[in-house]
Amino acid sequence: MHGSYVSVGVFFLLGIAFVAGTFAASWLLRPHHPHREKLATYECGEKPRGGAWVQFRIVFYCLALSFVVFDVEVVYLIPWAVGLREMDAAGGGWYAIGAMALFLFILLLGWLWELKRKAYDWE
Amino acid sequence: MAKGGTQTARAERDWTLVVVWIGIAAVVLLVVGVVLGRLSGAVPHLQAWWQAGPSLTGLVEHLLVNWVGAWNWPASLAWLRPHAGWVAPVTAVLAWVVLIFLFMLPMVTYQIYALRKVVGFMQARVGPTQVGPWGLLQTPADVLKLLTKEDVIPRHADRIVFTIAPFLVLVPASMAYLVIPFGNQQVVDGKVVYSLIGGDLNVGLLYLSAISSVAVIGIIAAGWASNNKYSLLGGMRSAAQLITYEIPLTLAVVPSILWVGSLNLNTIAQYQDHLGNWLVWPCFPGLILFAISALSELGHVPFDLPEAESELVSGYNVEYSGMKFAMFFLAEFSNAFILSALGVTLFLGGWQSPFPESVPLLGWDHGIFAVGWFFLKTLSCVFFLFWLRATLPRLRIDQLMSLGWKILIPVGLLNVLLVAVLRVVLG
Repeated sequence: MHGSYVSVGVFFLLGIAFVAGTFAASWLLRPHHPHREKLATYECGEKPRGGAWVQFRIVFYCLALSFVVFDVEVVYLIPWAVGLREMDAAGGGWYAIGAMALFLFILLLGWLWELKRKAYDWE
Repeated sequence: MAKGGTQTARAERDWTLVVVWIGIAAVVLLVVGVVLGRLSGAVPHLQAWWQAGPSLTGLVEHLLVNWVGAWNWPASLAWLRPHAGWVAPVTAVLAWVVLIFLFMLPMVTYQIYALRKVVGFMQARVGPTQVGPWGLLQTPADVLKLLTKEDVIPRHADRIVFTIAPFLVLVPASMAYLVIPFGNQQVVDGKVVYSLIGGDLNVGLLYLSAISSVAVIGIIAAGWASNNKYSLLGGMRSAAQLITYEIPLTLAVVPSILWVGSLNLNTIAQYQDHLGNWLVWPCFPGLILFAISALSELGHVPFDLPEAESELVSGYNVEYSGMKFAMFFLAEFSNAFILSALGVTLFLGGWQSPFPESVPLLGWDHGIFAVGWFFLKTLSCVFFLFWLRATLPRLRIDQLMSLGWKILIPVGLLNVLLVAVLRVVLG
């Protein structure tokens, strides 16, 4: 079964089929009585004012940027973690840890800079 | 006269019905007879399958390829004849059906029931009691109710994105079951004798973290497409929380990976063959980190800000109703099970028994006993989640963000380095 990625594709297609099938079954079973008031946007019973598609706080965008940086770093960590035992067996264990520590140190500088610029402070 | 006429007409109709029913019964009996006669040919194949070891692959191989494939197929239908190339895809279909319909759906339905009961008792209430004995049919009834509810799509919403969002949340949740090792698998000469894993990918853990991060897109899509201020705020907050805690979550699993040197979840479970080898010992800070981040990823108490009934009504799914709403709900509880299962596999020995092999019954962890241990441990973790829900208050969003970015991420990185040093020192 090793390396059998057929199952990933099958799970993906059947997952979609399951959701679509449930929606279809529900469509057959449920009532359809649309009404102007019922289809109005919910704002706790008040008359809705304006849409929600407006410009949004920049904080979320900044968070997403930081996330990309750290997520890429994690992607780099994973193959290193898988290979560490092998590298150690070949005599390069401390070298591997040193290289990763250097990489994380550079990242730490960036993290400290962001911390100092209050990028992680929510106001 | 008119009365007599209708009676005659009714009597005639009754006789017609009897004849029709007899005809239908005859046809059904004929079909059943033919099918049974045909199926009796399967008995030796079923015996062969059972003796070789009952795996899904073997079932497909013995029944579909060796038996159905050996029928006399007319030349015009020859392209439909099952052959060896069918084994992998058909096994995957069977695995999906078994995992989703035998595990995920009943599991999630009764997880909700268990949550209501457990939290009820903890708050000196009794929880659901009305539908079925001890209220046992309450959650299936809720599912049926949601299935028959009218589906409301607000006038100002983006209809397409609104409909796609539940797919983006539930499909990854159901795909995650593929790599969870419910038990061991036995491979003899490259042939799977039996397997309690949907698909034994050698990059299982990477696949799981990749799949689970897709749901964030679904949540932003749901929040944005509703064109509702509460939804948008809820969606944005959920997304910020999910991406913030995804980093510590992945950092928390890295120590386990480097300790075992594999991304294959079953290899990691197999490594923890006795209590002393459980990864909770070398990776204990990882377990704490994993638990905190998993709680946040699930939007669970004390990190249930996305839901925040009192401020945001209910978050990104305010405008959702009926089955579309049910999909978000289903995915949430399914993810609670998946993350508990992942925590058990990575830190608490997976399907392995904590007792030595020599102890009868309690020490056994082969075949179906492994599934028992796996569920015992995973459901204990799920119970722990319920317990927290009844115990802890909610964090503020600024506390949540500082905890994630200022504490968990540096601690996670430090933990990775420390475990790496420990690994190299111990050899």
